[in-house]
Amino acid sequence: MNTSLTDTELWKAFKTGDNIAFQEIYERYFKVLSSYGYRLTKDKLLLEDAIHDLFLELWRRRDYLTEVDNIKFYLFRALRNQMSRSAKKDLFEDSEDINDFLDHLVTISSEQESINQESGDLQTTKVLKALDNLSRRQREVIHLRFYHGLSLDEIAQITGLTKQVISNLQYKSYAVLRLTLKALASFFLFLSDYVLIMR
Amino acid sequence: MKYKYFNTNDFLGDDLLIRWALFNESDAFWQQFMEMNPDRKEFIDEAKQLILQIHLAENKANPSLNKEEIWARLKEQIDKPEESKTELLRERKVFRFPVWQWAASISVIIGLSTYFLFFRTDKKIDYQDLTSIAKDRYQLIEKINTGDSPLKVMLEDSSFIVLGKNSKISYPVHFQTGKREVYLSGEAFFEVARNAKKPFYVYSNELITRVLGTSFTIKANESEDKITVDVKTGKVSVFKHNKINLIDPETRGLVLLPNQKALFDRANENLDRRLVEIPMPVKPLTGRERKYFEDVPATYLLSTLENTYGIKIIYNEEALSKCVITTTLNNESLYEILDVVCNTIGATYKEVDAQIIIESNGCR
Repeated sequence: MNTSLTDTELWKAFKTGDNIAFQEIYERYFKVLSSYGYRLTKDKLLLEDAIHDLFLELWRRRDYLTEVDNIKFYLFRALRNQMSRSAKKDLFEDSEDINDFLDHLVTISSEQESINQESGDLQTTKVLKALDNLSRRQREVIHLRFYHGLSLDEIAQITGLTKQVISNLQYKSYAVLRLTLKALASFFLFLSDYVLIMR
Repeated sequence: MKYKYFNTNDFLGDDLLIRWALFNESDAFWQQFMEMNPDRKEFIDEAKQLILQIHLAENKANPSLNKEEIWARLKEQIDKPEESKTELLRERKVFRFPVWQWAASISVIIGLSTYFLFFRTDKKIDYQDLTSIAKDRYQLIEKINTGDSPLKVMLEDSSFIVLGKNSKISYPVHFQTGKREVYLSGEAFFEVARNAKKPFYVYSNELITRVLGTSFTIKANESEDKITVDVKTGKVSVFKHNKINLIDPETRGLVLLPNQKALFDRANENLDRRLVEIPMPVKPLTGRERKYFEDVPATYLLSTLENTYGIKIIYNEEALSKCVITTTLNNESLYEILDVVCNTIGATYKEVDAQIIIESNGCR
């Protein structure tokens, strides 16, 4: 497969039924898709199923799909839709979920702790901790913006939120993040001074 | 050029700058801009640093999914000799309709009372909807407060509810095993007897509040577009009834601690966490040393406040450790104390997501 194909060309090839092009799309975008999906659910099995179903659906409906020139963006939107569709539940089933809610929070924070321990990188750990102070939605927006570099317009289309709401979420996040990181910066300054003196 | 007047936040919100920081796109433009506008360099650097740090951190928190296994599954399905397209579509349709959906559509046809609700679930839900469903499951007792003074309602588990004016509450004659469910319209204070095996649920319009044992107030008037839950003691989880949201329960719910409140906006379905208007100490100040502070670092006083009110106060420890404070805490409210502290050390504070953030350049 010619890996220098643009998104538009790749998508066209895939639409004609070229399964090597299809595999190339999978190879190129699996990683970013799973990293975004992980911000929507922490359940890895569920996420794997969602990605599987998403690609199967793409393949089967390839004849009916529109032209796409930004595949990543297209896939993000499809994944989010896919996952909210499968989340539709009965009104009263909600209350059953709630029973697991507190446990769920505890699992996430302990999972996070083990990640932090593994990384051993103090700065990154602190940033992750700061990110943990954000709400789910804030985190999703920050992730799309600063990890994948998506534009405000694209994020609005993916999440279905208005641009104003996204900007607000972003500003709220900065207040929390910048403060944590400022403290961090001065700490590192202190550290480097310290190292100099020690020499 | 708009960038000449940008600060760090503006740069952080700029699509082009983000793409430069992450992917080095239009590098020449930004280099030239900084050369010509050296006073903006500091802001740009700060924004870029923050973006890179977040990117690095987010990169650490990626899941390891079984890419090869998923592809193998996919390949097996797409390599199947393709039947004619129409057959494929038909098969898919039948396959994609899980049994419960059939069951759901049948029950819609049968039960006219539930019919109404099924089509309204993604819109507003009220007391009427909730109690009509509950009535199918058990017999309900309803208490309505039409008087001017609050009405105290005792429940069989020795929890009690103080019902506000023009408010009503419904609850089963006997609670089911495993959960205690009540339905509220209007305003009420709850003192819930602790029973970890039997969580206590309050259904109020679109919001569900779940506790094990605690005290809190809910205001959910049908005519108003806000629902609030104020927590006095204990831990409370608040959720919205909502079908359109993602499966992750966190996006639908909040855990509230004392002195926090949930604010649900019924129009845009936003669920927000705030501090209550008048935070109360979660544990009383004990002993002299806790009330009188003489020449202590501001950080010491702030962490005392944090513990007393159970509210997270975020500040730059490095900067504030040099600020010294002498004060006496009497019966001032938390906000009065914060005003005094911030005035003394030349700082400002604001509330973000039920946390207090103190901003200061530090003291010398």
